[in-house]
Amino acid sequence: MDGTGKVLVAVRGLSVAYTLANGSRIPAVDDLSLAIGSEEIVGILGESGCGKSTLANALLRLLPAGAVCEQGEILFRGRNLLRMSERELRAIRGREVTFVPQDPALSLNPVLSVGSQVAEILRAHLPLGRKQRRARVLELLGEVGFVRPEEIYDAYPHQLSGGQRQRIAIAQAVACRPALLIADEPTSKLDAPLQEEIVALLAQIRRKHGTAILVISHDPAMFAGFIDRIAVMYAGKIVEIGNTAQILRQPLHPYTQALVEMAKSAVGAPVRTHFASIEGESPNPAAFPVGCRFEPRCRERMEICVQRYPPSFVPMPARPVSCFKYGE
Amino acid sequence: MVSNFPTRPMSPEPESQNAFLRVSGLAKRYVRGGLWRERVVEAVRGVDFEIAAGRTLALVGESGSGKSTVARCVALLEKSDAGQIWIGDTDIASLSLSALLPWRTQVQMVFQDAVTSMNPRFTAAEAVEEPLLIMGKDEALRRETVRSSVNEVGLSVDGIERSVMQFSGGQRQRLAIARALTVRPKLLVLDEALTGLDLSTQGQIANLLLDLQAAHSLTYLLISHDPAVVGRMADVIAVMAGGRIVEMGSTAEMMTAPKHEETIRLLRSARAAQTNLAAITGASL
Amino acid sequence: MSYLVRRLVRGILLLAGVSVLCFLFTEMAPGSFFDEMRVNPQISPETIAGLRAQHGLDQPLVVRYGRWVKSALHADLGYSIAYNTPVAPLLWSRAKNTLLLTLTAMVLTWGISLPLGLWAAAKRGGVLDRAITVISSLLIAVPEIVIALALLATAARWRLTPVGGMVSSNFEELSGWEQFRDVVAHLTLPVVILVLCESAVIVRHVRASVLEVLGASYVQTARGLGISRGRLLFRHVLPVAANPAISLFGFSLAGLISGSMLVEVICGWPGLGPLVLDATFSRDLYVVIGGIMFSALFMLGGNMVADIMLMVSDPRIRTGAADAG
Repeated sequence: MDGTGKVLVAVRGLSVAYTLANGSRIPAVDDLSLAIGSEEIVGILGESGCGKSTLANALLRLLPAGAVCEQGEILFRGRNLLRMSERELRAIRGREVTFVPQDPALSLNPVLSVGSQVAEILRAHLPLGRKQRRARVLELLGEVGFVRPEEIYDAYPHQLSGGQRQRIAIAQAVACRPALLIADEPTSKLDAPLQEEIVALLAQIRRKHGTAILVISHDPAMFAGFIDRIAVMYAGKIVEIGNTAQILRQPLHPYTQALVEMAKSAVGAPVRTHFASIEGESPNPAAFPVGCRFEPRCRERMEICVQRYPPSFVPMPARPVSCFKYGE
Repeated sequence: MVSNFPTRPMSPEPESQNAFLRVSGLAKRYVRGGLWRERVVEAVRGVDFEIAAGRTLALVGESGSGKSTVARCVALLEKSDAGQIWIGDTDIASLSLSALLPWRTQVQMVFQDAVTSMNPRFTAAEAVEEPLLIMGKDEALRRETVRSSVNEVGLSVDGIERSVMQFSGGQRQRLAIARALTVRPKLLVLDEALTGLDLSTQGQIANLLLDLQAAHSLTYLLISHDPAVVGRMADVIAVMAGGRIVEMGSTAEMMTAPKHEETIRLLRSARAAQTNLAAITGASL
Repeated sequence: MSYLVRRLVRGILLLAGVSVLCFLFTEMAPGSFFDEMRVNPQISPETIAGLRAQHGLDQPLVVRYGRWVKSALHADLGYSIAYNTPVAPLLWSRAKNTLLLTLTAMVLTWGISLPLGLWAAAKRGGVLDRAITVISSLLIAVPEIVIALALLATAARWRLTPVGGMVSSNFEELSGWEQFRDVVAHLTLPVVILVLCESAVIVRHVRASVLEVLGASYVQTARGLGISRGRLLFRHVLPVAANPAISLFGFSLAGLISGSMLVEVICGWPGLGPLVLDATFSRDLYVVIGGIMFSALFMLGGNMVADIMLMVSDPRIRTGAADAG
């Protein structure tokens, strides 16, 4: 916590697992704890399969069938989301806690105009009349960067480019001025120049409206510049948390170190030189090892790493890290 | 090796002796139907470039710039409306479908999403051997080629009887490359083959492609919108916008001294992220 | 050329092709209307020849076709040999009865199938859903004729509804309101048969397409942003799921004239079906041809209406969307 305000969301000891048709249990999130302060931008950094999307879905209680929150609690403003009824959740989703979906091409209804889709969110949560809603939608469209909102209002998703669709999705998400916005890989399906714009837009949303944002991504370069705190996730667990500058400047966990290394060497290397990468792949969730889950790929592994899972050590103030390098 | 602005029509003979692929005046249009009138969309409006043997040319551009269409025409998946595609002395764009068959083994394509480009009902072995099956090779030869291809992409032969869906994204992409390699192509068209992968997996696959290129003297046509990937893998970068190539040059030139505004725009954002990162980490760019 | 114009032109060409085929097939089929008469020794060959000439049956095929086309363009479809009356009015009087039957059945079918399919999909796996799946499977598996005969037998045995015909024998003597009730009573059996058979198919399609849309990303997103289930279903899901349903609707429209022949024959409903069937057996040439052309016209019209409805309801088709290039 960097002390900007009170805690908005507190995840405590959350475990989520999927049950397959054949009865086997696949853990996705394992005893995870995380706090998000109001007006804070927190980033979750991790590879695909580490459980970051499951975490995001759990926060919205939008897990697919077959996924179960086995233990833990998710406190939003002190109330446990895991104990709320569907009706109570519906009042929160879209209004207090919203999300920007990953793929803008798929997340908009193809037969409704984009303006009316944004209006739908307003209609679900706010007592506005039709004219007021339309005015508000036009305002929102302007805010997310459309120069001529009236023209865009009646357009259909297939008439818009990928970047424009993502802006519409963001407009839907911020329509009711939520307290928390969750962005799951908001730029991974977009072209490079658009990524910058979307990032700038998100930063602006926090600045102007004090919305807390949880950004999920696998690209460390994206985090630099607008994220306050980073939580690094690997194989269902958070392995390191810290303030962005600290994590990127001085990563403690070997996995984080490798990620930052890769990001730094991305641009500027001569042609035909090998890319930096981490050997191997993330472990299969159906068979997590007993010890540290990164151990097979770790350059600094030790004997103790195989024996049990490293607890969280705090070698520096506000820098918890789960690695035996920093303790026993 | 590099031809500059694509304005004049090319002569029929290859200009440089070691150009493996030469594209000249390529054009393709699509017809979009509507209720009252139809619209014609010119996806590619006259594109010229060449790639030297064993080298990589990257086509960069936004969605809709026509780069995927060019890739599909070169990979012989679509028939261009105009222009020539020279491999050696043959214009493969002008060949009939049947005359084209032997050339299909020369050019192979690796797609972006291995999930959708592989039949989920196939086992890995079946997926990789399919091109050989189509060519009518006998079973012993197929098995042998599949084993060596799979090994070459860094996967173990032991698991190849599993269903394709049981492999991870990165592994599936390796299988896609193995599949392309079975027919010993000379040119690989990589249509966003590295997009959508984690940084680490992307690095691994890119390294694999670089190694394969060195080992087999493969020529690559790389389609990508990621400047980081392009800057590291390509010898020549061609920037496309609105169906045309607006700037083309060696990677070094394009990355350090881009001239066209589109180039600047596309390649700059990578630098912006890097700048942020560098500012925070205190590293030098 | 625009889409609509192309469709119209193709439709006309299709009708022309159907008419040519009709003439060819009826020509190739053995026998003619006068065969029975020929066997009868009391009628002289000259009389028969005269009758044939009168109906133009002695002319070569091409000439007959040409004359038919010319008169068809003036809405004159020839003469019925059996009924001794012009074909067009004859067809139309019977077609009205058929349309009464099929339109009633269509309204009921869609009125039942849409809500049921929607409900089954919304409450997937529930009791109603499973019941619908089982019942519709049975109805589809059993041939229409078997269902028709079974219901006919039941209706006759238990005297549930009048069986046969469109009106009772004392129809003329009944008051206006009683006449109406009489027709409805006679209508019941054939409509029930048609509705059962058609709904089974349509319910499954509606259910399947709604289920597919329910699983789509944009529906999950809308749900995730707090849209209530009811609104989600009707405002977000239905407009998209309507697409395949509209195509089916076009098929329903297309089959308004031709789809009920079996039921009409079995229930004795005086529609177009039995007329054309009899005419086929007795080689009443122009009735057969007229009936087929009428049916073809409805088919084309129905499909075209469906296409226009699709254009209107789906903005992707309207503005000519395609995948990004």
